[in-house]
This record gives sequence, structure tokens and C-alpha cells, in this order.
Amino acid sequence: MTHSKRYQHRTIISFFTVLIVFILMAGGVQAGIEPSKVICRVETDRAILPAGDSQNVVLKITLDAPPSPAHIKRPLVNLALVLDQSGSMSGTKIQQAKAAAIEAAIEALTRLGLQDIFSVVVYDTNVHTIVPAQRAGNIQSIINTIQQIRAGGSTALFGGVSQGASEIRKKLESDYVHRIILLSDGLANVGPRMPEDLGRLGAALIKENISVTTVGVGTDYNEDLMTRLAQKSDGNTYFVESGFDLPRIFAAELGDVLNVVAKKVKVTITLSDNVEAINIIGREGRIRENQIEFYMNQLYGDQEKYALVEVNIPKSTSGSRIKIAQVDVTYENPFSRKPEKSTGISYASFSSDSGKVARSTNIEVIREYQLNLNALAQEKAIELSDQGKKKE
Amino acid sequence: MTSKRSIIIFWALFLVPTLIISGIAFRLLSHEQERINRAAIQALSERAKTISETIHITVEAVQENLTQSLLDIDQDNLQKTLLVWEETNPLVRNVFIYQKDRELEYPVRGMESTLEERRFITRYDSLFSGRMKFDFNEDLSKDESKTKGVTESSRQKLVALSRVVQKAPVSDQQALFPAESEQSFIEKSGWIPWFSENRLHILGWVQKIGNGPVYGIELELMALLSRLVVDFPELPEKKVALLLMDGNGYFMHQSGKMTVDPKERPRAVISISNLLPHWQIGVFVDKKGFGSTRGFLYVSVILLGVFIIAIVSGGVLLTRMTLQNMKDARQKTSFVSSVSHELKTPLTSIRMYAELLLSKRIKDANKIQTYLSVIVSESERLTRLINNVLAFGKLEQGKKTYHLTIFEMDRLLDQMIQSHSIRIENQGIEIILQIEEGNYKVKTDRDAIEQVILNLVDNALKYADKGKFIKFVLEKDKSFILLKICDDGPGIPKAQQEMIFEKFHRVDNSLTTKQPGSGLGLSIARQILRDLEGDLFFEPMPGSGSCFTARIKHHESD
Amino acid sequence: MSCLIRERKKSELSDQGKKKEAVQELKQSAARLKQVGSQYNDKELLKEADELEVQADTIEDRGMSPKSRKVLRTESFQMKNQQLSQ
Repeated sequence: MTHSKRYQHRTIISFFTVLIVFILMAGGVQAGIEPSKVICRVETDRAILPAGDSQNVVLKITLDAPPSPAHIKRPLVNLALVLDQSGSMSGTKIQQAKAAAIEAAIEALTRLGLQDIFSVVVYDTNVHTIVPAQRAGNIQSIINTIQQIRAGGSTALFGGVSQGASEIRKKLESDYVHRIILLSDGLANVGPRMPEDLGRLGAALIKENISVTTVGVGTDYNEDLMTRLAQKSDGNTYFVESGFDLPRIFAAELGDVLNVVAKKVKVTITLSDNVEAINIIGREGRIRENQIEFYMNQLYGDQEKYALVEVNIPKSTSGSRIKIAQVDVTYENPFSRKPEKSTGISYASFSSDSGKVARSTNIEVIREYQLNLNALAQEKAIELSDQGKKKE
Repeated sequence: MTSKRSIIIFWALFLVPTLIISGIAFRLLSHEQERINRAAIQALSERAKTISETIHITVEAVQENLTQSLLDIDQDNLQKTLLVWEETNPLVRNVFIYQKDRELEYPVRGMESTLEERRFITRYDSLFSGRMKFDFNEDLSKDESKTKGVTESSRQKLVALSRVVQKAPVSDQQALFPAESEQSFIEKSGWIPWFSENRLHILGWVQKIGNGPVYGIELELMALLSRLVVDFPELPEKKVALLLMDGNGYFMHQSGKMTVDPKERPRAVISISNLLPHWQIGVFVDKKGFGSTRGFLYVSVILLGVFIIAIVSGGVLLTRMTLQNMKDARQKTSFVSSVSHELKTPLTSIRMYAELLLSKRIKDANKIQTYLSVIVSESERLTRLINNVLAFGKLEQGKKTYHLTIFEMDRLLDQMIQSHSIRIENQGIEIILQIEEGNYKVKTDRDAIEQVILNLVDNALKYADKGKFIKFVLEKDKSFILLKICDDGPGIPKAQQEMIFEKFHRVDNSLTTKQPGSGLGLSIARQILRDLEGDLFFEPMPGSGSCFTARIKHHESD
Repeated sequence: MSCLIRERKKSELSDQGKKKEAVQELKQSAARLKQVGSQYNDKELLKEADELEVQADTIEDRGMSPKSRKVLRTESFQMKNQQLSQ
């Protein structure tokens, strides 16, 4: 799967987009030194809508993160690695996976800078902090410690994540990019183990700006639990069949973490009068009266994140033009540590010329909309295949 | 026989108390093990109690602070503040504002709310619909604070005290009779542990103004738990575990390395707090006990085993020695009597013939000659016998000294056969001599070897007197000279073949009853040969008869 | 004996869950992607449709294996989250 093309930063705004981008420069004078801002685009699936009755329209709110500036020091990272060392699934394959995980972790470590904070927590039946939060400068002794990890016991996943969070908290007040990377290859059997419970833990952690990235290894872990934890804390999730894919995963994840260009990103969509929110597709958000809110913990350099919202637009006459919504994005610039703001506004024109309407189709919005519907269908398929299954 | 039985009885008397004592010791040991286990569980329970107290205090403090913060909220900005709380405070799962006799103000029922909020409303529907009062559990908590005051630790008391101070403006009367005036501050508050879908939820509420809204938060238990488990102390012991368990008995957190089966029952259970009802800390101990105390048991059992073995083997040894001594004593008695007999026979002959000669009634010179030779041969026999007894005595005491000289064995054998040929042939036994060609030089004690040969010859004459021949064979082995003295007598039964070399032993059958003897000859012969680095052993002749082989060290082999 | 077989069959069924409906759901989604993809001539949608069809067929043949389930769950999350790195 290579979605990369699809999300790549696009600087050209298509001619049919009825979109105006405001880039409000908070410290405009320093623009030369500071990195460029996050750009917010709001697009509809068709730039020109058919005039007539009220209709449903898909809104795509895109956040284009600027590339990470080369001449400014990147935000420091506060990383906690939480490793599963349970021996419930003892066997050479799992042992190999664990060894690979350790190797990959060590490789990843070498990419951290001297000022970054790093900690390692391992869990089996109990939870142990084997590397308490410390500067990653002292890398060799950290590596030596990690290499001594031995497998055994049950799987206290909840405790592991909790301990990882507690290591992160040692530097919580400082201006770091907080991240827990959780590796698991087995079912959690000590501590809360319902996907919902771990989701709630994730939801609580994101309030402290801690995201949890989950990496499932092999086919014995609980993917529902792992994805829910990542989803609720706005982390990434990965599935690898064997430990040999782990170096790639760690590299990718560190690529994200070391490349943060916006933090505590809050997206507020204010709908115009008579425009009604119908549904949020894909991403989790909340609809509050005429406002829709999304929250993202971090944006990574040169990447695109978006939200899809279905809204209902009132009756219209041909040739008219209305404002559908205004989108306000607030975030923290991790370089200047100042709050920033971007705004996007979406307008809709109406026409009774169906050819004109058809030509104004925005394929990107349609594509992402369809792919997100597909994601929901995949989830539905899982749910269906689970139905009637014996409870374990 | 009676003495044997008495020894066995004595031994049994000795053994039985030993077994009884060891049995008691073993029971005491296992009791000790049990006691140690109990003590360990007790200690673990104490730790669990400390932990649960800490949890209780923490949760209590959290709730106190949240209540205070809720009360401090500016009433005009209530909803906004609460929403900010919900967004930023990990401990806040949901917030609500409820106005009595009106709809729930926040969250609103219906599709305006998120799924989580809708579930929240459903969960507490009986409260939010007004069917149940928020302070329904007030009595309960009041009762608790009364009883708790007696048993609580000082720290808890302090917290409780601070709560009382905080709650001071709250008066029950006020609660029961809502004040007339709209702006009367009553500052009622409470925490409700709430079970829904078999899971614990905790709701905190406050009402600041008499007619004002009841508002509050739902505590995020997962965030609370996440913070609590981090402070759970680690247990270094391997075979024990403290497990934090929720109301359904699920393991929330474990301390200690023991692998606990979810079905296993805890050895002790400590309730955590009324603030987290049905949550417990279970104490688990490996059924096989702890590693350290196990070791104690093993060591004790080994010690006990060694003790028992020592006692039993000591008893066996003593008994055996006693039996041996008894046997020796019997043999000595029989030895004395047979030696006396042996001595008496030649003495009688010597005395009789000497008296005859003394009476001078015997005139026949031939007869006189015969009598004298009998006296000589009998006294020779007596000498040999006494020599044997003397040799035996010396050998027994290890005082026998040997004078080593170099001589030729074949020569010695020739001389001895010559000097004893008359005695042998008189018994009608033929002498056969086979000497292989070669050098038979030895360096050994000549007298001792003579005594050995004499003993073997006497033995053959004594026990094979019905035989036809006595055969002397001299041959050479690698470094030994082998002297075989064989006869064609009745031989020796297989079972006796090694015992004949024991001192005092005589093959106890018809043969020996006719033939008196000391039972020393063979024993002495073997002892002498062994002292001189040789040996003596028996081998049966083909057909019947016996053959004794003496191994004497060759001089040149040195 | 027959009772035992029936028991086993029953448990097999329940282990499979509503496999048919699940496959149906995926195939429907694939069909919709294909339709929209061909309507706008979008290669990415068509490619995704093809991949999904293969996935649906695999599940139809071998049931919802732990691996299939993990792939579906992870992919859908990565889509919803626009997770680039993978």
C-alpha cells in the first residue's frame, strides 16, 4: 500500500476549488526564519452544486503541514519505548521477534539527538522501567541495558503503558514531542484488557499530549485493543507479521516523531446558518450545535491530514453563492512554541447546468470519501465476522 | 539363641523410639513450614493493607480536590469551564449539569451528543431523570465516617478531618429543607460508586446553591488506575503475588512474579476502599511454598534423614559386632578345647611310652626303639602344634617377625619331603613330586615357609588319610613360584572353600569330628604367605580331592 | 457419534461468525469503489477495489483468519488516520 503520493503536500490549489485560504501570520515579520504555517483547505466534492432542493455535501478539511525546516532545530522528542517481554508464547519464532524488536529499538535509538529524552519499560507479569527517562546521549549504556531483556511471564500491557506514561511525565511540562511506542505480541492478561478500556486510557493520555503508537507483532496480539489505543491517543498503528519488518516500522515511526511541525492541533468547523452537520466520516470528532471539532496531537512535516464531514445545504437558486463553513485551526508551533492559527472558508456556487456541475467534480474529495467509506466497510466486515462467535 | 533374640529386642527398642522421634520431628518441621507460610501470607496481607490504604487516601484526596474545584467553579461560566475540564483533565471522563425538574442541561439527550455522552446519559438515567436523588447514599457515607474514625490511621484521620472542615458549612437540616432564598449556599457534594453493565463507574456531584443545578463529573477510572498502578510497589519474591482485582475478579495489576491462574483463589483478600467498592487486593502464594522456606524444609529433611541413617546403621553395626564377638567367643572356646585335646593326645602317648620304658619291663630292644621313636614323633607333633599356636598369637598381634634369607625352593621342598616321607608313607600314602625345570631361588623366611608346607602336609594327612597319594608340584608363574600340594581325599564343599582360611574354622562334618585339630593351620599359612607378599588359595581337584596352591615371590623378579 | 459431529459443526459455524455477510460487505464496498473509480477514471480507487476483492476472496476461502482481521483493522485505521508511515 502506497498512499504516500495521495497525501503528498500539494502546493497548487485546483482551479475548481471554491476555496480561499487565509494564512494569518502571527509573527509575520519573522517569516523568513520561522517555518511556514499549516495550511487549511476546505473543499467540497463538487465545486458547483446543482441548484434546487436541499442536499448533502461532503466537506473535506485538509491540513497541509509544511516541510520541517532544515535550518531550525527540530522539536525535542520525549520517547518511551514499552516492550512486551512476556513468555506466554515462548518459542523460537517469538524469541526471534523479540530479538528483532530489541535490535530495531537500538537502531532507532541511534537516530535520536543528544538532547532527546528516552526511556524503556518492559512488561511481563510485572512492569519494570529498565531505562528511566534520561537524555539519549548516553546511548551505549542504554543499549547494554536493553540487550539484557529476557522473556517470561504474562502480559501486563496496561501496566506497561501506564509506566511508560509515568516516564514521559517526568518531562511533561517541558516542550517535548511526547510519544509512547508500544510493542506487543500477545494478549494482555493482567490489567484491563477490553479494547474500550485501553481506548479510554488513550483518551486520557492525549489530554496530556501523550500519543501512543502501537506495533503489533505476529498474529497473537489483540488488534482491536491496539488500534483503539492508538486511535484515541492519536498515535499510529502498525501490524507486522514477523520481527524482521520492525526496523522499517521504527524508522517510519521515528520519521514521524522527529518531524513534528505542529502540536495540539484543534480544528473547529463553524457551519453557516441553515447548514446542518449530518455525519463525520472516518476520524473521530464531535458535533456541537453548529460546530464540529477535531483534535490532533501532532502534525508531521510535509504530510497531509484531513477530516471528512457530511453536511446538509438548504434550498438554493441557480447562480447563487453561499458560505458553507469557516474552519479555524489552532495549534502550537513547536519551533517558536507560540500558538498559531490558520483559517479556511468554504463557499458553494449553484448552477442548474448539470454539465457544469459534473465538470466541477473534485476527484480528490471523492476518492478520500470513498476510501474512508471503504475503511468503515472493513470495520463492519470485522464486526460481522465476529458476530455469533463464541466468547473466549 | 536367647542372647541373639535379646539383641534383636534391644535393637528394636532402640529403633522404635528413633522412628517415633523422627516422625515427630518431621511433623514439627512441616508444621514449621506451614507456620512460615502463614507468617508470609500475614506479612503480604499487611503489605496489601498498606497499599490499599494508600490507594484509599489517594482516591479520597483526588475526590476531595475535585469536589473543591467543582465548588470553586464560577456559576456563570459553569458549562464552559466543565467542558474545558473534560477536554484537558485526564481524570474527567464526562461532565454533566442537571437542573432538578428540568431536562438534563448538559449533555443534551439525542443526537447532539457524542456516543460516549449518550452512553453516559443512559448509564445514569435514574439520576438524570430524577427518579433517584443524588444524595441517596449520603447515609451510607456518614455511617462510614463515624466507624472509620475508630480504626483509621492517623493520616487518614487527618484527611477525614480536613473533609469535615470543608464540609462544615453543609448542614443536614439545610439539605433536608431546601432554603427558601434562591441564593442560599448549601455546598452539598458527594461521590457515587455506580455499577452499570457490571462495571464500576464513579460520579462526583456538587450542588452549590439550594435551587441551583447539580453538576459534576464522571471520573475516568482508567486514568486513575493508570496512575495508581505505577505506584504499586514491586515485590522481589518469586513465588508470591499481590493482585489488584476489580469487582469481577479480573486482574487489574500484579506485583510479584508468580504466574497466577485466573481461576485460582487468593489466600487472603483485602478490600481496598469503600470509594472503590468490591475492588480488592488478593494475596497469592505458590502452593508449593516459597523458595527460601522450601530450602529450609529440604535441609531439615536431609538432616533428619542423615540422623536416622546414622542411628539405624550404628545399631546394625553394633548388633553385627556383638554377634561377631559372640561367634568369636564360641570359636575360642572350641579352639581351647580342641587345642587342649590336640596337646593331650601326644602327651598321653609320650607319657605312656615313657612310663613303660621307665618301668624297665620292656626288654626287647626293637620295642624300645619303636617306643622311643613314637615319643620323638609325638613330641615333634607337639612342637609343631605349639609352634602353630605361638605363630598364631604373634600373627594376631602383628608381632611376627620374618628373617629373610635367599635359598632355593626346590631344595627346601626336597629336604622336607625326605624328612617327612616316613610319616607320610606310614599312612599308606604315596608321594608324587613334580618339579619343573628352572630356577626357584627365593628371598623369604625359610622357617615360615617350612611351617606353611608342614601345615599343608598335615592338613592333607589329616583330612585325606583315606587317599592314595599326595602330590607336590613346583612350577613358575610370571613373578611367582607356585607350590601345589594336592591330595585325592574327599575334597571341600564349595560353600566352605573360602571359609577354611578363617581362623578357628573347621569343616564341621563327620570328617572333622574324627580328626581333632586347632583350625589354625590354613589360616596361619595364608597369613604368613600374605605377609611375605605371596598368597594361598584353594582349588578343587578334578574328580575329588583338594589342591592348595602357595604363591611365593620369586627372588629374581625384584 | 452423529451428535458429536453435529456439535463440532455447530462450533465451526460459530467460530466463523457471519462470514458470508462479512465477505458480502467487503465485496459490496469493492464494487462501489470500482464503480466510482471507473466513473471518474481514478486508478487509485480501482487498485484499491482490486486489492479488496482479493482480500474478500481470501476470507471467503479460508475464513477470517487472525491475520486477515489484523490487516483489515490496521488498514482501516491507517486510512481513517491518514497514517503515512507504514
